[in-house]
Amino acid sequence: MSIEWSLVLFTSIACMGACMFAGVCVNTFTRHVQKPVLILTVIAFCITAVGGLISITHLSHPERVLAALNHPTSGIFIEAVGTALVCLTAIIYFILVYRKVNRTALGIVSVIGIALALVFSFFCGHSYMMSSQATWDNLCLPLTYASTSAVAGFALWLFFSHVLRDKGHQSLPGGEGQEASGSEKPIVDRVCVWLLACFAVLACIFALIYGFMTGTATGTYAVVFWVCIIFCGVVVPLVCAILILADKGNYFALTLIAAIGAVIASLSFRIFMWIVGGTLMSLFGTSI
Amino acid sequence: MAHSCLVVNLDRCQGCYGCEVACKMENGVALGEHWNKMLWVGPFGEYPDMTRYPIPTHCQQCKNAPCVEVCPTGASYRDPESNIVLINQEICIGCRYCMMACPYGVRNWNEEEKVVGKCTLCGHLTSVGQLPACVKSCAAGARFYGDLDDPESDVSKELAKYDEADIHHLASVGNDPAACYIMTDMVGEWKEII
Amino acid sequence: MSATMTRRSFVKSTAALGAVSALGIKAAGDFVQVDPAAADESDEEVILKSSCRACIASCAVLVHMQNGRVIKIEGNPESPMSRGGVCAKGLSGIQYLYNPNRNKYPMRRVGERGTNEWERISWEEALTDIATRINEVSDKYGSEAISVSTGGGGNPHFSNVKRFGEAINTPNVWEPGCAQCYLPRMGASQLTYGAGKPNNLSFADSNGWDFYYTDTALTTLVFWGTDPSNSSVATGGRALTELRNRPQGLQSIVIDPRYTVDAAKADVWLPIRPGTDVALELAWTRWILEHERYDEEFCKTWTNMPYLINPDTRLTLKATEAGLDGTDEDFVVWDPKKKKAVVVEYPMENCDPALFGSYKVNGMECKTAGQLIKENCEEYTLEKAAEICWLDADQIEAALELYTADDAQGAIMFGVFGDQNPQSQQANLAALCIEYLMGNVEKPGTMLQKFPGAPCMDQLGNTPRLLSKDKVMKRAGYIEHKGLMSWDMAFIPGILDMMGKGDPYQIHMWIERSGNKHAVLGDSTQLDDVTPNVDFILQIYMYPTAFSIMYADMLLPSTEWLETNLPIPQLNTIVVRQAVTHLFETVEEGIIWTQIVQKCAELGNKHCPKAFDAEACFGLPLYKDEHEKQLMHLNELDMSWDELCERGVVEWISEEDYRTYYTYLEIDPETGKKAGFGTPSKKLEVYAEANTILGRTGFPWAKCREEENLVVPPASEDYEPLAYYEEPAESPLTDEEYPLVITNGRLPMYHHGTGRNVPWLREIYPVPELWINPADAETYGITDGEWTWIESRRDRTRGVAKVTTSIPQGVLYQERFWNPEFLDSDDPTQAYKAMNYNVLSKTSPPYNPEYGSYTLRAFTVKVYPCPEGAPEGTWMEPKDFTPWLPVYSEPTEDVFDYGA
Repeated sequence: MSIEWSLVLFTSIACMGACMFAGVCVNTFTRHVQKPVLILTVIAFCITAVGGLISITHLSHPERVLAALNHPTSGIFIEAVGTALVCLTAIIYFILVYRKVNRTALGIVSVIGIALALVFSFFCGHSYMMSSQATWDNLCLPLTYASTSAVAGFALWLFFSHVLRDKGHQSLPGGEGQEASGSEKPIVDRVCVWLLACFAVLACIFALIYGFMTGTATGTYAVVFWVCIIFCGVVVPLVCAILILADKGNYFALTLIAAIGAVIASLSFRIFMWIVGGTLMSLFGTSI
Repeated sequence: MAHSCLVVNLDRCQGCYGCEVACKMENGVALGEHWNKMLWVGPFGEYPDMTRYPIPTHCQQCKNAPCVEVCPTGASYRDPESNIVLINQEICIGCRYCMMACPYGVRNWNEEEKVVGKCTLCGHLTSVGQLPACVKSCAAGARFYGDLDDPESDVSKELAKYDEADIHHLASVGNDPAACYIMTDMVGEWKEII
Repeated sequence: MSATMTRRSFVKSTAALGAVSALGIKAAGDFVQVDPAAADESDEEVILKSSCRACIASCAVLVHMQNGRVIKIEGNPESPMSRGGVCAKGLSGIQYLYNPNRNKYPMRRVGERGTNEWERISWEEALTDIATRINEVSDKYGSEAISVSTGGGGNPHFSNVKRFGEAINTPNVWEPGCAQCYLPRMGASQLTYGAGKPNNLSFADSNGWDFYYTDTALTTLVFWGTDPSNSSVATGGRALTELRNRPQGLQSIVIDPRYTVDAAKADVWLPIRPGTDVALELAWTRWILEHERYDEEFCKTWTNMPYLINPDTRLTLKATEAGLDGTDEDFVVWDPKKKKAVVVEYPMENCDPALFGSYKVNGMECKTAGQLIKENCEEYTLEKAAEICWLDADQIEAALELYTADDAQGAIMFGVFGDQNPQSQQANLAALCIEYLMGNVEKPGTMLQKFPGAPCMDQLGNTPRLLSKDKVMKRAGYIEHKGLMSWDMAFIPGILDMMGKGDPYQIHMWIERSGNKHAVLGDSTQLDDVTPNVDFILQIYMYPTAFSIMYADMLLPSTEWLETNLPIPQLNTIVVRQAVTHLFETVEEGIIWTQIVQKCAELGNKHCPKAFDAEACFGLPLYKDEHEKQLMHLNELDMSWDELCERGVVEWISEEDYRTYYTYLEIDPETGKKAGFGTPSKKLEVYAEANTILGRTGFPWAKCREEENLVVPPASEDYEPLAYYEEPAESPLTDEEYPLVITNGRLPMYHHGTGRNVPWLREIYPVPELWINPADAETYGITDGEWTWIESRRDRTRGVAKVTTSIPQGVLYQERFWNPEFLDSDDPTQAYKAMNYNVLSKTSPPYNPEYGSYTLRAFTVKVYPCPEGAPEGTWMEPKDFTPWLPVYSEPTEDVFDYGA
């Protein structure tokens, strides 16, 4: 099938934005370091919102989009609602931090944020599970959507939170974390790095199961699978994570490389889905 | 519940493409677009046991229509009265999930209106007692329209002439296509997947 | 329009005369339209009954009109032939009719031929110009210097063009079909069956009437080189579909290099090497004789099989030659009981004659015709045929077993392939001989029938006796290829020599009524060399074609079938074709002819007035106007034209009375004996001495003004009474440089050279497929779906390879094609060069002796990849054809007076 760029960009950008927000939410509990969470929340929100808006470009009649209310169990409806809920949660989080509201409330919202990010990313892939599509009709498709998004999201969180560490600290309710400073060794957000590594391993497992069950790992586009998805999305972030945890290498560089690799993989997996996609039969000789 | 569909008798079909043109003329389908399309299967086998046949294809009126399930706006819907799967082009948002979901790729992207279209079983003709255009003008008398659940319908009467083994459907992935293809060993071996 | 044929006025349109423009894509909208007739004001949809003419099947249709426009076409279930079916071509009628590139007005070329610059002129001016030239050429060079041609595509009316030629006193009327299409099948039948117009073995040309009734006794059908699913989709194709789907089904044998739909449904497919059919026919004949499957009684009584043959004359031995009591019109057989030769008491009253053997009669060793037939095919065992024809001997035998089984009623239908190479007469004689031996004549379930003719006529016949002896002897090929006399047409290579080389005299004017000779004439690029020496070329057609752009000096716009009136006999009904509209200044072919003839007469031509004189014509005179035309075509049908149009399909006889068999057993009131067949012996000629006599004398077809049976000097060699096999001149068995043999064949969405400018059809099949067997594809490096060069000794062209087992190894298939999209490009010659099968075919000798048939199929080629692909500007994607989508235009008044 031809690559539906609107949908590729929507699902990858919105999901990685949502998962970057998940990183913001994890930080609520680790409070590892004082971070400029407001700016980071805004960035995550913007990425998610941009992704959501891009989805509209897929429609030829966006003016009729409210008709989607007719069929609230459809995949598209769920994706739309999911995007909106993530964005809403981010707004609520922003307000709660800004107003220094109590820890419990922030904690609840953070849990919701993390859960939403993962579930939303899962459902972005799930709506493609159609019995007519042999290479899509596999649970590991949405699981890979979710896990590659998580890797990308956490990598972006690590990168941006390091790069913007001097842009302002917000003390989160319930105590201060370590002060970040510009000139010393960067303070490593070890919990997030571990989470990054774990999701990379999960992405690896799900992607490999997907690739071999559908035969796409050894098919015409196997190169894309192994280089852009497995290598960029698993090996590269994993190696970076290991190096970070071993206090080796430049933190900035490693988080940047991990982020690039993860973003490439996240995009690539969606693109891959389209190029290996195809209905059971294409009787009119056209595909979408 | 009625199950209206098309039945094509491949023992009769001559591969003339007339049904493609009849449909285009009736429904204003643009160049390069189709609401039905005739394909060739084969030849396969080795002389003298070979098979080759033309097969006209169109919306199969699936009993579990995936196109209806995935449609976010209900533009792809099952008509409550006739039970026929149709498209309300006025609320189609052009997301084309139905085209991804159709196992046969028999839904058409209308380039001009930017909505999805497909065989409507010529409801505008059948509702005034006429036959769908492709059925009416079929040069081989190979096409039939009617309700499978009505024993007096044209489709039921044609199907009744044949053994079960000679009545075929396109492969199902759970969508359960209603449309039938009749083919005996006059033509040869039926191919599930085209 | 039928309902109100009021007085019409001749249009003397002066608007936009002299404006110069090009034809082709850019032509739409360039010319001012004539004032429309009073338009139908209401939005009401009206349905008119008519008959399609996208091909010869003439399927009955219902035409939906709204506000004077055709908006929909569908089948009319009232016709017993098409039963409401219509094929893609008929259904596309609207796109033919309203094609924006229609020729709308008479046009005269401005500038050089090939520059595509035209100015509009009035009909009056056009007719005057043409008639003046006809008269001048006739006076200066002789009317034989005018060549008139037609073709099978584009709403033609065959008998009219011949009448026209005779009316302007030229013997040189021709068409690319004729000797290469249908004439051999008809001629062979006329000679040996005594009927053939139209009782012969061609199904697509609307014979085989018994097969349209599902209770026909036919059980086993041989499709010899014919594919009714393609060539007569909704009539013949439908009929056979009905037979296949009877409870008892239809046994079928398909002899065709292509694995067509008909072959795929057959019991036996014989994928025969093109050009070798006569060998297989002789093998069939041999097997049938050897296994005694022939109908002995029938052969003895109703064929000339037992007749003794005079070894000196090679004709049937006559009583006088045998020294027996009788005339020189009495035949002789050998009576085995009496052990002597006896004169036949018609039909075979007095003895049980020997079918085989050689007998001494009056000092001569005389063999029976049957003996000669037997000896003639002796070497063609199944194994030998299998070797020559690239077939499997067991499969050949399986086919024969089916066809000749005791409980089978078999029939052979014989396709156009057989007419398209130098063995045309032989192929047809052999096929008929097989059917005669089997007794498959005028029985329930046979091809050959003499069902009664309809009271109306779709063809009015022609008037060959308008030509003097002197004139007709000037016809190209007249002496050498006497088979052409059946159609009063000329030998094409002779015509081309006259045009190109002035040999034996120069043709100065060419009046051509058809689409694109480039697509259908053999070795068609030779026209580039031939036409420069022809001073004036007029083309009459509905659209500009490559012929128009490259060669024509003047164009006259003819009508589409939706603008035409004609009654069509179809089995026991008559189907009307009625003009449902009229566009621009188009004129129906027949009216154009009569207008030209009238103008010639008006300007002083002394011969032309005779065309309107029944006595001078020895037949039906030429009609002067549409009204007369309708009356003549209605003939004995007791109905007005309007009423016929109203009813659409009219049953003129009951089915029961129509299906009359065994007409030869009816008593002839003059003799009191059984009528027999229309041959001189009243027997079927399994030994076709009529063929030999034709070659020697021109009997029965040579005629002229002075004599009804003109005796013409003999051809250079005897025409043989029995078929013989000759390996094609270009043979894959010996040709090292061109190792593959190529053929062509019908498609359901095109008819001859037409339809390539119809978007709905062209998007289905935009460029021609070259079918090649996988083994050959591998040998020659050809890839499925890739452009491929095909080269013959004449030229080379392209096709898109389709690697398939539907064609046997060693054989290629590609259908004819041409590309209208190039007409107003920088290189319009690409229109007929890019992917045109007929630049490859062959018009050089050898020719079929009887008809002069040249080689359109079964010649040798080589193939190799074409990495260049199609020439730039080739239209292949559906949207490319958008410029040809229909542009509705309002109906206009007929140009010429209706006449009533």
